[in-house]
Amino acid sequence: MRRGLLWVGALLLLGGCASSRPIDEIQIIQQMGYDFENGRYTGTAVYPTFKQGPMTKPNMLTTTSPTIYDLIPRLSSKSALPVEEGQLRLILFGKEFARRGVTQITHSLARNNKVGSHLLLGVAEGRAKELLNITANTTLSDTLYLPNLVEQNEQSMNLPKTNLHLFLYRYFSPGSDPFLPYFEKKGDFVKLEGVALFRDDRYVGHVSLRDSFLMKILLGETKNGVYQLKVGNRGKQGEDRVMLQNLWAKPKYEWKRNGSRHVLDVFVHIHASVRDYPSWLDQSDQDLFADVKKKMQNELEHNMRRLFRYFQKKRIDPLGIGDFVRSVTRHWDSDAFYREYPDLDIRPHVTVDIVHTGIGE
Amino acid sequence: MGLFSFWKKKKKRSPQRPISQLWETLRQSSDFVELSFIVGGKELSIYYFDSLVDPQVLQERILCHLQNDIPKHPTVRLEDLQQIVPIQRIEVSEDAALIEEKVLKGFVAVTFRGQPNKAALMSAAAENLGLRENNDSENEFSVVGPKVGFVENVGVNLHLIRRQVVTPNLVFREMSIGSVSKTKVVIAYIDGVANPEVVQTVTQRLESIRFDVVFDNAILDQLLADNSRTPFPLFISTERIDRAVYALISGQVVVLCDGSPYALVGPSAIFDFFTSPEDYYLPWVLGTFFRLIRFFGVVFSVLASPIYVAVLTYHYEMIPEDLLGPIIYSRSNVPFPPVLEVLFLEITIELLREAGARLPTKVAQTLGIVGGIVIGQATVDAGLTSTILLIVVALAALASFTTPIFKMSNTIRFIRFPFILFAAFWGGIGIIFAVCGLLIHLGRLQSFGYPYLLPFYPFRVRSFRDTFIRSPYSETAERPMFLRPRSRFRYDPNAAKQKRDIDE
Repeated sequence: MRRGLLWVGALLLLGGCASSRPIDEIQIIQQMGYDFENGRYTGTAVYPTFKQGPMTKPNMLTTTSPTIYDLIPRLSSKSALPVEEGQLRLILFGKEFARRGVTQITHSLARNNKVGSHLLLGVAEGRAKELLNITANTTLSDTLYLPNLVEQNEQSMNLPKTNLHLFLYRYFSPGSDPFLPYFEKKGDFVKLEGVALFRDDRYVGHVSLRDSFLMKILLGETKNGVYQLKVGNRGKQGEDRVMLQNLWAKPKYEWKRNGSRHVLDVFVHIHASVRDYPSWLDQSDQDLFADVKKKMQNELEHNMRRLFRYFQKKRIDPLGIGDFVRSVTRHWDSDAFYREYPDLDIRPHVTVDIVHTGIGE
Repeated sequence: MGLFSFWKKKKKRSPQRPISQLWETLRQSSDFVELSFIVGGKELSIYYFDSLVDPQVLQERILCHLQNDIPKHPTVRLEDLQQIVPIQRIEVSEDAALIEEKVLKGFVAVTFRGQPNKAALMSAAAENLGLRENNDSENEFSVVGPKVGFVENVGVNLHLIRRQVVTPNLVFREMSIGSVSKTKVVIAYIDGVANPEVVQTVTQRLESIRFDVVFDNAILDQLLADNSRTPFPLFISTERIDRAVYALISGQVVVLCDGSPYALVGPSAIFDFFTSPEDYYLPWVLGTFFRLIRFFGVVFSVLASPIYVAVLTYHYEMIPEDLLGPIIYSRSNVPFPPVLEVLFLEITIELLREAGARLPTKVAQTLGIVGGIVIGQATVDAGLTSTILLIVVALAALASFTTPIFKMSNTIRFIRFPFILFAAFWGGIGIIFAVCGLLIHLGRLQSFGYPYLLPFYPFRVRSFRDTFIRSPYSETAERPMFLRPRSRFRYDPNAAKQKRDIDE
């Protein structure tokens, strides 16, 4: 009996130590933007309000400060309820901010137990605040517009998978560099423009959404993405392109020594569906079809070579080639590898298997 | 001096006290009848309680024969009455205590003038007077299967069991419990199946019970329990005959008690409380499915509202983004912290249930509808609770009804509240503490000395055939070994597994 009372007492006393945060008494921020302008940092938080019904109404809080760490406390001074970042879904970096390095933010996020590693990161062309303003206040008016946009494109289109976990993995790995989705403002809309590339934690450039398909299939096994290819002569209406829908693609790397130099062979096998193709391309004509397939493979290989050269010129390794080479090399030396990297001979070999072309004969 | 203290005093007296003194005591009561008459030169006295005796039996079987046949046998003695009176098991005794007990049970005592210190005892008890004749087992209803349930008369119950267990090995052991009620309690088991140790334990515990009136088997349940502080029922009490018979053939012991339509089954493990006879009447796939649903219902019922409290109070990070809007919106007008909101609603539902149980059936139905719909809607409109919580609590209440044994369903209602408090004080980790505490408690429980968590702890793989999964009958020939039955198989396991694909 006495022991029972002791237990209840301990429960009550210790219960007082826990800091409760009832869900309706906190300001949940779902998106955060960071900008750097005129020597000052700007932080923008987007939070939902649920007063009119289950539909959300996004609101914004903005503050500026000479340091980064000061931003969230300063946001609190503008908010009626304590600001909580536990439901963060996306963090957007302005281009200027990203150029100066995002380590300060990502390091703190890596240690933050409130945010999940599924948190999305992104880079905005121009200012993050402007983009968030569009998603919050203009036509879109949805706190989760950007996260949904990214997820949708990762799951069914050309964007390679990115999130905080993968960013940190690629950032800390000696054999790869991180990348993030890249957004642009188009009038009153926000558009996904491609993939922003980082050297260590600094933004150094970006590739288009079309090229990001190549990145996606080079990064690993994928089951989605579309790619438009030119296949020669124009038809009656001037159509000369096929739309390649990736069904299943898998890359395979091979690291070889060729005399004193190394060669990296990249084999990519794409199982694709061609949904849209010019009317002159008749399936029954096997020769013509094989020829078109050959052209598609050549163009893909050509574009891949171009992409590799771009990465080599920028001295970045978003595809994690260093990681692959390390996995097949004893005593891999990061510095030596990246000294050789810009001149490395990377040879893509693409095989396209057209699995189906829609309902037909 | 209590109401029944006169009885205690007598018990201490020597059995040699004269019978005349006994009649003197019994005469205090107005329903005690004493008839004296002379037949064929013999002076007879008969004594009985008017309220306990069936007048028809008294007149047709006893009085009639005594008056007509004694003159034909002038030398008849008390011991010879069996030849005259067509009543089974006539006893002649000099023991005043025994005579008293029998007369109080509805026997008629006959004395002859010539043998003043002896009485012949003839049973003329009106056993079924005022008792239910049948029971539709509505408290443990099953759509498929027999509807007959136990009744208050233990004789009928024994009859019902013996009709299905047609074996000489079915043993009924009778004893009398209760210093005042002298209730007839029967231990039933199948000799050669039930472990004699269990039978021994049950007998010993029953014998050592000191109590005055045994109103119901539920009282025996508590007096027999290995641990009286637990909210969990340690023995199944069932009013279904099939359930009791199934327990007997599995090697369990059944305790029946006069005046109670429930049979007590032990030793019971926790799984027994979640199986329903219907599982065995449906095909095994369906039986298994419904059983799993029931287990899910229990877990859901215990954990749903504590998780609501924990997540809304401490773990807003864990809410999926699509649920965030509805939850915050429905909470935005509620002035209480989540724990008060949950307690308020849980207590409302418990009140509804309690009120429904205390009211006549027809009123209770109306109350359920009025309470459920009107109060529920009104509390939400008034902003006292959130709609989401209303659904959570209602579902949890619904899920707790799926437990077939009423006692267990009460326990589930009860243990939710400590869980809610733990969740309110410590959040998710509090729920884990509570679950651990519950498991520790369950692990320490015993039912007639057998671990309560069998076959989980100690782990018995072979006995899992009839726990989560209700295996087909080709697999269940073996009795659950954790009960340590004396005979291993219920029926021939090889014959049960034989495939008959060609009719020969």
